[in-house]
Amino acid sequence: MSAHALECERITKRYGRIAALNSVDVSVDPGECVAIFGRNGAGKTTLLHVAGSLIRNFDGEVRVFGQSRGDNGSDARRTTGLVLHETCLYDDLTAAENLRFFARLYQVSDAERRAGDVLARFELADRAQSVVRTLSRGMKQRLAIARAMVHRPRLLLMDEPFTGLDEPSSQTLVTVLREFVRDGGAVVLSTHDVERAFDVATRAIVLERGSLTLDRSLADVDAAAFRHAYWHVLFTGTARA
Amino acid sequence: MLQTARAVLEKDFRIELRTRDAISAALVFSILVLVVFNFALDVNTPEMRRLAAGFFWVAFAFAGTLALDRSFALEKESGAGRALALAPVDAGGIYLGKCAANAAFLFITQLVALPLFVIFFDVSIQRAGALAASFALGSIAFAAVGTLFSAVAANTRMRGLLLPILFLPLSVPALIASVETTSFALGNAEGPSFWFTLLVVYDVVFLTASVLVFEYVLEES
Amino acid sequence: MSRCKFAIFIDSMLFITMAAAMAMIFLYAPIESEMGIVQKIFYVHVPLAWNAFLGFAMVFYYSFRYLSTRNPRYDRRALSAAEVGVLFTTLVLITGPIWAKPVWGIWWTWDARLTLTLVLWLIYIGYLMLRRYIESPERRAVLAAVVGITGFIDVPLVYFAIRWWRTQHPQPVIAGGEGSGLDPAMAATLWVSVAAFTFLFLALFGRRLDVEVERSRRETERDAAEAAHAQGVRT
Ligand SMILES: Nc1ncnc2c1ncn2[C@@H]1O[C@H](COP(=O)(O)OP(=O)(O)O)[C@@H](O)[C@H]1O
Ligand SMILES: [Mg+2]
Repeated sequence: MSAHALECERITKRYGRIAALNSVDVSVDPGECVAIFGRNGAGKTTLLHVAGSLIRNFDGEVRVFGQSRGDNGSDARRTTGLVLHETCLYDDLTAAENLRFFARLYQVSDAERRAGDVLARFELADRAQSVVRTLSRGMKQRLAIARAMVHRPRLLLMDEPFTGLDEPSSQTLVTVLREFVRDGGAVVLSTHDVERAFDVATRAIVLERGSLTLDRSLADVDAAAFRHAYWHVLFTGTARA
Repeated sequence: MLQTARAVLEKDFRIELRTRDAISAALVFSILVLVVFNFALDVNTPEMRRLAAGFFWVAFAFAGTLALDRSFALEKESGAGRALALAPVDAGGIYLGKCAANAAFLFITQLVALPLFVIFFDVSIQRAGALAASFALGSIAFAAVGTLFSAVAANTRMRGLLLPILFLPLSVPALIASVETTSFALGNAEGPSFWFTLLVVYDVVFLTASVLVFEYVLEES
Repeated sequence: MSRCKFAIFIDSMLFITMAAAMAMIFLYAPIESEMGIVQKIFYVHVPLAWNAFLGFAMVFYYSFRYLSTRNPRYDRRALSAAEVGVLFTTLVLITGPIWAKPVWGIWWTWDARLTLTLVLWLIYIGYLMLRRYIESPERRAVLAAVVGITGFIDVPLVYFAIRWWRTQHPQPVIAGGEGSGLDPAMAATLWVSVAAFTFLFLALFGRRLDVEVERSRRETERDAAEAAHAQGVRT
């Protein structure tokens, strides 16, 4: 049994002639929040999908808290929460109904209470009875994040979670994620916002055309220095020491 | 598995109660087909009256595809189906929940369309129990195959357009058996026991097969 | 036996049996007293139908194998069997009316066997159509396998439904039981013809499979080459 929350070993995923991921190795420990950077089409979404077992056909090995993603890893599913580009919500259900439904699927014992709690946490309590279709884009995004957390996952995989969020909501998300990480959870999120990532991430990786080109802790660098390194990688294709 | 099925069933009912999309589309379409039949063929002759059950089920088979198509279209809409497929639950349970919801929608559509059918075709219900059984078993048959193929079709570029092409040929036995049993209920046919048996066998076979293969339909690439 | 030797074996058997079958059909088998010369199409029609059915059974088997192993080889086999099966079914649906028109005076009859063939044809046309509308090869293989399995499970149900429906709605002209009380010379001809068409089926199936294998080999090669090229450009 390994202590890693997420282990990706030599992940390669091809779409025809495009290698969306090219032998990528990453592992994430509990208490870590890893930010994935990379240009459009670099493979961020693909990596998160592979890690979240949305994609099953790939080469390599994914383990979640030591359990292989392989066939029917139902513990792995239970411990993972996913935020995708899509909201993954039923547009014709209310916010509360959506959360209760997913809480029930994950057999959360206090489904009702838990749904109320996460709604309140993301400042959606007053819109609990609104049908999702009638919510604004940012509200849907907050609800999508609430949905991913309703079953108390220990690993959160988030694809551009800050998209569409206003400043206070982004701050809320940062606070929630910090608490989540402090309590031993692990987060992997993709983003284009270096400053925002610095608020919450403990580590950053850079993907470039499917390959991992930079992987460094953010403990000892500041945002400006990291931005510099990131740009250097993007333009020269090599990491600087 | 049954817990999952119940959660999914309740969810689909809630959505249907709020939008009434599936039932209203199927209902309006089946009434349209019945009306069109009336113009295309002179149905108010004794000859035609004997074939009324056939008209009813043809209208219903086509209208039903609308409701069935909606079933997985709503899972695709905002990616909710992905989250559903990723939940640590049995795929068979998801199938049973969706299938039960679809069977109920089809059955409700039939019940609502029935008075109009009786009026348009001037038929009389001789055996109400047999009619209820025919409708119920027929709805389950169409839902059993239709739910599976709705999920398959939702994964293609054609989306719903492929559903009738895939599912109508397979439902031929269910269609024949439903027509014969309804015909019996209307007093136009005898010897329904074979057809009731066939409907039950068809329901059991396809419910079982679908529960077993549904995990393959749900998984992503 | 290597694929090549096996193909040569099948082709030679096809040649021998088909020549024998044609000779027997036209030179040996007696002309049927009531139907006359058109009855000879029966020696083509029936073997085609049986082999079409064999094709669909193969689709079922290989679909099942694909789902349990995820080996694309079985998907290719299922596809090839389905295509040749649909081809044979189409020929059954063409030869049927050619036979029916002079004998019964009608092109089409909703006879149990003919109707079953038509329903089968529709099911497997659906199977082939489905395949065209799914981009991802893995998804395509999985979903096609699901249809290949459920479609075949449906066959006995369709058969019994149509059979029983026929007995309840008798037709003025009814097909005389094929093969019932067949003249020994006719029976012998039929069996040779069945063998010939089985080899024809296997030969076509093998050819179709070769094309599919070659296609997927080229695809992998091209992808690998382009991936290597992309790699080279970057570094
Ligand atoms: N379903 C797909 N079919 C074909 N190519 C795909 C598919 N999904 C992603 N790709 C390709 O894979 C590469 C990585 O995409 P993605 O992971 O979405 O990038 P991003 O880093 O912007 O999230 C891109 O070149 C994209 O075109
Ligand atoms: Mg992306």
